[in-house]
Amino acid sequence: MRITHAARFAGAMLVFAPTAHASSDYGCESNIRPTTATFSDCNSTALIAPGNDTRVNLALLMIDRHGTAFQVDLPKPDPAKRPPLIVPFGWNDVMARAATMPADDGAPNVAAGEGSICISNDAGQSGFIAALAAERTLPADEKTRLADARKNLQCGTSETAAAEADIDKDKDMHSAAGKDLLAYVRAAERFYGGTYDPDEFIALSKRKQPWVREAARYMTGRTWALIAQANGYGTYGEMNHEQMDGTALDKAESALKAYVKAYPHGHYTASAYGLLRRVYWLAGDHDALADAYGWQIAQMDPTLRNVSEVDLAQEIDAKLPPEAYTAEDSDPILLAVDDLRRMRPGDNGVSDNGVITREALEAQRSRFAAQPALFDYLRAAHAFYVDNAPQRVLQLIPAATADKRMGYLDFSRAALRALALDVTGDAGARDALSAVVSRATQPYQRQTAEIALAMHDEHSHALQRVFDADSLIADPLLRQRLLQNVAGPELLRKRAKDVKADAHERDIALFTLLYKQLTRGQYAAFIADATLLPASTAAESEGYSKLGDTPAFDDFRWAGTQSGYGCPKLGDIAAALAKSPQASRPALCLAEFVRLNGYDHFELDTQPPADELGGSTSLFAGKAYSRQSTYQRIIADAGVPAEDKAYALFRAVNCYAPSRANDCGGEDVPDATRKGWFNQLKSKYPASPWAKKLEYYW
Amino acid sequence: MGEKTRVLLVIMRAVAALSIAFCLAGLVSTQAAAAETVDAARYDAFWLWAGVKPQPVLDRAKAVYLLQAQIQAHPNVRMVSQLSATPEIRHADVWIVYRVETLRWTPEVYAQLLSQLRRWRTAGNRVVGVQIDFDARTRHLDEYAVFLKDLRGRVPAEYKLGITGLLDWSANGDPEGLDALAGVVDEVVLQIYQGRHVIPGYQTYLTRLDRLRLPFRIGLLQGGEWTPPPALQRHPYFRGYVVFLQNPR
Repeated sequence: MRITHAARFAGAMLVFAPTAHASSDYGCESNIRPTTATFSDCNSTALIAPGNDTRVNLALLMIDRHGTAFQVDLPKPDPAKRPPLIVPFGWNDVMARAATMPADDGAPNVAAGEGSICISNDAGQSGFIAALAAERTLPADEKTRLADARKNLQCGTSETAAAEADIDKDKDMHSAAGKDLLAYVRAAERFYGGTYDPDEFIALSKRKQPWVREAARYMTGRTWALIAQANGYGTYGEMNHEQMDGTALDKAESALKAYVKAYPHGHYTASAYGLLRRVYWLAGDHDALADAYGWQIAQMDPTLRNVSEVDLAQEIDAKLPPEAYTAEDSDPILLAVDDLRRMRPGDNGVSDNGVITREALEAQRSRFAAQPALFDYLRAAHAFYVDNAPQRVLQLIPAATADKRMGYLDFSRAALRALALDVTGDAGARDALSAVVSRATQPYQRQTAEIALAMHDEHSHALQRVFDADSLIADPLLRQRLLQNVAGPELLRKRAKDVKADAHERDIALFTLLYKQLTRGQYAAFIADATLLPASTAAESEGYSKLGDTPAFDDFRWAGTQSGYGCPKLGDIAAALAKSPQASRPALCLAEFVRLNGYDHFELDTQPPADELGGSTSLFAGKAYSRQSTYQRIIADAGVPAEDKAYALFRAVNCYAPSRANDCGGEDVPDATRKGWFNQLKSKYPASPWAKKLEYYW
Repeated sequence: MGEKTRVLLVIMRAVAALSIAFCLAGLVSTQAAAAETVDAARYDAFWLWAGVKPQPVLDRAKAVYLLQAQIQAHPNVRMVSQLSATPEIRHADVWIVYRVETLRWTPEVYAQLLSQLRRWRTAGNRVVGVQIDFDARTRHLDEYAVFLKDLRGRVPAEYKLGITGLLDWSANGDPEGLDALAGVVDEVVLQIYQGRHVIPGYQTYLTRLDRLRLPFRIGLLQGGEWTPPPALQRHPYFRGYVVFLQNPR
């Protein structure tokens, strides 16, 4: 759904701009690759790249610039359970895994992201208490009374009960500071009760007490900003820019600017800059907004940034007009993000202004004068993703020194160089990829690099290395994906028996081994290896997945079926096929096993695309199973008993019932063939129960 | 998303869809009537989701299902508001909608929901009910029913309780789970789409709605495909449609 950074929202989310999916989980399929040029919702990696969500690239570059750590709370793999997918990820994952959540300050009835003044009540209280502590002229008893008064302040109620109850405190305030501070509490009470009166804070800003002066100046701006938007919402709770009060916005801007000028490192300076951005956005002042974001991106003093890089990336994406990314004075990070977006393939409906040319990129050199490493990386990315010229990548990115902590740009440079070596078949590719894995320290880097290294081993006929004791491939999802899709029987058996392996990896190896033996004609081996099956746990498999936390091992103890076309238990079917692999009845019964246990279109009978991990030729001999192929073979075989032939015809026709979509796997056959099967059953085997049962074909 | 990875979920969904199609014994016409496009102007109940701009059709709506917040599962359970301000809808019934990732709600989440209900009502909205949008899988409808029963006890009785549902419930849900829901919720809106796409072969599922014993609406996608099965209007529990509005492309 997230198409470009230009996607706009009518709603005025402060931070969280959700995507407008009816159920957003189903819109995107994760592709396990280290990087890609083509954008989709859920396929970002730690490698800054065209295919990443622009917000991911922006956040990673800002994290590098600010030297902050990427705070994420990643799901921890449980050795006994199905592993979580860490990389690739979508922006929603980045948001959901952000370790620094906005605090649910002092407003238990207010949800995160709810546009409520109450979110600041707790912080306001702590600020006030700190101010009391810092005010030396304030007598101890006044301090206590003032602290109580502030603590009694309830947000979101217009009740003044608290104020009335301690009205006497006015008389008790003898110190000048105490009077000022009490006046501030009274103003705060009205503010949190929903009455926005800038004059009251303007008056307070002329008092003597320094904290009151400062806080009141800030609150003057905040109050004007609230007044400006008082009528700025539509019927459905949506923001309506046309209805904002322009005069109030101007006053808010002046007050906030005056505040940050007077207090460049004050208690509320970072917050005031955030409010200024909001004021510009409400006013639709794009130039001022672009300047404000440029200033925030370039801000190296963390006390002057009021949001994390992830939240800032989200805010910029939602609020900064697209032309601001490429404006002459835009920050190089914004320009880089837009350059990368324009390296996406032009025919996917995502790029709106064509793929950027090498010349156009080179012409930006002066814009990146202060950031040559970033510029060279962009040139290398263009060579890699657009021009398919990996040799040029190697010229643009020299081999890196390996002694420092990798930021995301360092990581991307090293990883892209290693990938270019890999693409060109360089003998040093594996060492380079391994070095990137070993050097990865920041979130998502390791998993991204592991994908690249695992794919290298997969494609250089060295799958075993992934599972060697000294393997660098630790991500259980990557390992299991290779076992399911590529591993041959020897490796699977070895993994299934390795007591040092994770329990779930062993389970996946064994399940894959048994299923493929059974469906790829290795019946005797199946019978032998079935002795490895764990004792029945009677655990219910989760949902529709056979390969969940507990794989559906009990299926391999299938007892057969008495009703309909009767079949013996699975072990007997395998034994019969071991003796006579082409025998029709056991072959049809194996198809019954697949049909009745839900193995049609099973994930072990499909493989990922060739450009993904697990997409190389499977080392397990034999074809993916499809029931239809079995039926077709039996239909074509003149020596098959009538009952089996009739049942094969019945089942083959039913492959297309009732939706006309083929449930049985294999190549779809034309209508004429289905009609032919139907007619053959009806004309040649009219006495068969299957002929009588079948009324239609589809 | 939840603890299930996307890639596995996609596979699971595919397997589910196929096994459902497979289980169906009922015969449907192989010649589907020409598909029609959902024209919002011909309907009177709408979902308005976060990020979707209000459209003029809303002005003559009889019911608006308005997304208020999402209950996130990760990294901790919490409610995240999806609205800028409390709505002020005077002309239509209003359902306050929650998109739910987890059923393990904290006390704060319940408190926030009740507080929002009060605020909506105080602001003059004709709030008729709370709708929960949760992708309960067919095999776990009974657990969902337990959650809903508890929620029913917390939400004041003057508000209805509604849910969204998946089409395959009717085809695949275990009857006990569905019956358990019937005693708790006032309506279910069955969506014939996932994400931004109409579910291929939705007509097939619709033929199985006869098992449904609770009032239901059909959730359509604005601009999406819809061909009503002839028997739908005669279904004793059918209560009409809700159209999921989309921004113009």
